[in-house]
Amino acid sequence: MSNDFRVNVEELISNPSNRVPVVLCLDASGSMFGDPIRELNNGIELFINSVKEDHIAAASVELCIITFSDNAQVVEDFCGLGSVSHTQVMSTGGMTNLGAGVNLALDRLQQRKALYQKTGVEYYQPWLVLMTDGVPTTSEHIAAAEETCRLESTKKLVVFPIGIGSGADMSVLSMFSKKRPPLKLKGLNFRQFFDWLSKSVSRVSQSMPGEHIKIDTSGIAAWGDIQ
Amino acid sequence: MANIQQALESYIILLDTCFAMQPGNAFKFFLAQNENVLKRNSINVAMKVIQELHGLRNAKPETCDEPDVPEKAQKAHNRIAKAQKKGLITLRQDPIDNKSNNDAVMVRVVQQVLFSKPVLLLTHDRNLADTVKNYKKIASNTRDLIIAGLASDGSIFDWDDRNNKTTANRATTKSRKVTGTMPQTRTQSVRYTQQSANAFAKSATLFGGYDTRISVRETLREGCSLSTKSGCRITLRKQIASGGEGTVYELDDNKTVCKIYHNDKLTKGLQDKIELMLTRNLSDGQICYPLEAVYDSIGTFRGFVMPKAAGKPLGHHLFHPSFAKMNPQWNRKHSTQLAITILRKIQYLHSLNILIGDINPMNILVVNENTVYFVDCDSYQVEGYPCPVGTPVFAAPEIQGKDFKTFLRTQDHDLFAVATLLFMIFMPGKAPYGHEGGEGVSENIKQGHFPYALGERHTQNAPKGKWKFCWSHLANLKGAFNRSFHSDAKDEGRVPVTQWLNSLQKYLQVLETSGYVGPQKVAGVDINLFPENICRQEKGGVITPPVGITNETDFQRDMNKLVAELSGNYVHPNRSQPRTNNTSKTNKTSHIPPQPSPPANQPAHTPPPPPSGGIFDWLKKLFQ
Repeated sequence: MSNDFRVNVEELISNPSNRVPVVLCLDASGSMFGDPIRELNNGIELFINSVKEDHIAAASVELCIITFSDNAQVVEDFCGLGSVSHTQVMSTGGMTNLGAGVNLALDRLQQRKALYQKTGVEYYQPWLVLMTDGVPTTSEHIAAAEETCRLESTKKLVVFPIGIGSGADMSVLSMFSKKRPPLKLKGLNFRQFFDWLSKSVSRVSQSMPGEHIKIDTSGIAAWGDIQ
Repeated sequence: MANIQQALESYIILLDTCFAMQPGNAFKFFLAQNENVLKRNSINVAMKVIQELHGLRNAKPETCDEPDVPEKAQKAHNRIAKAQKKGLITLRQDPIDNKSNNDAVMVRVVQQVLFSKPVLLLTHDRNLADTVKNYKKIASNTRDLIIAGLASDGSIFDWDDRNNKTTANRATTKSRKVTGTMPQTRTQSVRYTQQSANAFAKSATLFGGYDTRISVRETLREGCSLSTKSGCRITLRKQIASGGEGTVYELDDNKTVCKIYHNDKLTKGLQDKIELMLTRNLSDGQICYPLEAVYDSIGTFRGFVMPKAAGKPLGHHLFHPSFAKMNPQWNRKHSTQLAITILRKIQYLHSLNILIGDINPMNILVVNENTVYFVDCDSYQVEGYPCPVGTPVFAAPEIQGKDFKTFLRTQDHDLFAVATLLFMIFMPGKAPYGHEGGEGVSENIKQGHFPYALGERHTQNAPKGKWKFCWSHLANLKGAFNRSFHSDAKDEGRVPVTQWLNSLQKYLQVLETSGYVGPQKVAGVDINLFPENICRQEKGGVITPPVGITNETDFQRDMNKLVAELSGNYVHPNRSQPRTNNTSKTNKTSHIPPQPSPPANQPAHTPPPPPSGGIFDWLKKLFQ
């Protein structure tokens, strides 16, 4: 038995913090190649660093990074922020299989929740951040969107659908949440978005608001437009 | 109990600076009238008092409360020097005194002496008087304490007699400045004019003025000046914190700070509440309760002055996962003492009919186990003004999910939060309802499933980790926790603060007498913050369960089991590819809809498993 594995299990059960699982589900299709993917990576880096600066959020937030193009893949599976090692997202080229990405995200989330339940770790509603710059190339997203809405309506998920650039199909993004309209990123303001996200998630872990997620809507203006 | 003249003859007499600085020749008359008595029983004066007088006589008049402070200090200093030569005064110095301010020295000296000898304290400082009186109330086995003030003719009087009379007066006249109440003559820039603390009324009618906004025309920042009701000017210095409600600034005196509300948070209800709170003066300077309201140049209410806090929030301290590693010397004795320190403050607030409402790990600041500060006191519930905020982990099941602005809390609600806080002190950071098969935080509280049992052998569904070992060493505290959280014990009512204090004192004795430092498996209570073995109770001289032959702790054995279970049982039904390939194509049904939580003690219902094949790789990845 690997010693690392044992250490990680011990970390999971020794940390008394109520966890906030956050899954980033990111478009890595061909159109993201170049500047967009670079800015996105900078944003993720900034997100991790700013959450780490807040000691309580750092002990609470667990991160999972998923990308999708032709297929979906796990870049980093759920783990505490101290253990995150793979944060660089690569554009693999290819299509925009949005549905596969969301399905994989929900799958990982379900696994993590099962592990929390198994070990008696308490957690808040998970957050799903969905970012795409295009139009879905398969129809998988229809069923996936139904599922995110169902989870959202039973307070089991908080969804943030974000469109990147003029090519993003905002009407498709709007299918994923009935509570929160999709927002369009201003230019490539990924940093501003992730800065806002880290503050919002810190607020959840610190003020322990349970089911009442108070999102700082005034901060959105720095990075997004409501369509 | 002696009268004041007898006290002068035989009690230990302690002098505070302000007594010697009373106007006119009062102090001189006092020394002359009692010369013979004082030759037999001299007044004890801490060197710190002399140092304070030195400081004050050199102060610039414009920086003092009153311009004649330097002159008064000079006079007091000369009189003390003369009296010392005559043998009426003895100077005392303790090396540790240099490290603390005069108030702290006075409090410490009174506390020390009171255990062996009765004390006559000569002072005109109500904060000091209230602090030592409060201490005497809490501490058992102390001797008699009389606090005396000085009249202009040099005679002294017992403040208790004087204050009782004026309290009666006040009830009818409602005047805020009644002649004869103990004034504040310390030399802070902010002068306290409140009445001494008598309890607030218990109100059943909610005040709704939190919606009436106050419009603001002046922008405040560092360097801006404001006035208090008594006409004092304060200047906002460095900004030290900014939160959702307001910004906190340092003031010149270094003892107090000023909270200025954000413009959009200012309401008539808030102003009325703060002004109501100001009709009471709390004796506990570590409760950062409003001392003075502040108004801008147009006279608009903008915030309040409060004592400056110190320490780390509990959330960053004992409750943080890194705490034990950073503080290896801290054990359960410290935790117990910390719990007692916190509870005494809550007991004091409750005695004044003040409810904290939003008890949470961010508004209790810990310096050490004996010193804690309560902050965010403006949210406390007084009379009809509710505590408008709350924290679900600490909110009683019956108020879960409610809008905290819309109802008045009861003391019972505070008692639920108290029990939760205590639980999290002894199970460092872990909330009471987390259990195997549990749901989200709020859901767990509503369901009230408390997984720890009184007989430690029966504790089931407790979270994995050291939590059940922590629990098993809680001795007599277990009963009180069970009563607080177990759904079967609902009818017994929540545990009152006094009962918690008794239980904690008893537990402290248990730790002192039968406490040991683990991880060896012996009878008694492990004082480690995180014990690794179930508590071995001595039953009829037999240590049960029998000590095993291996040196493995119970925790290590549990870990072996858990690690084996997690790596062996997880099999993913929907994927054949090992997940570490990172390219597994997901199909439409790959997400698993949430299922009702399985009973955790049935391994057959373990949660949805990961890909078969490469399981170990998958798990390794999962935790990397």
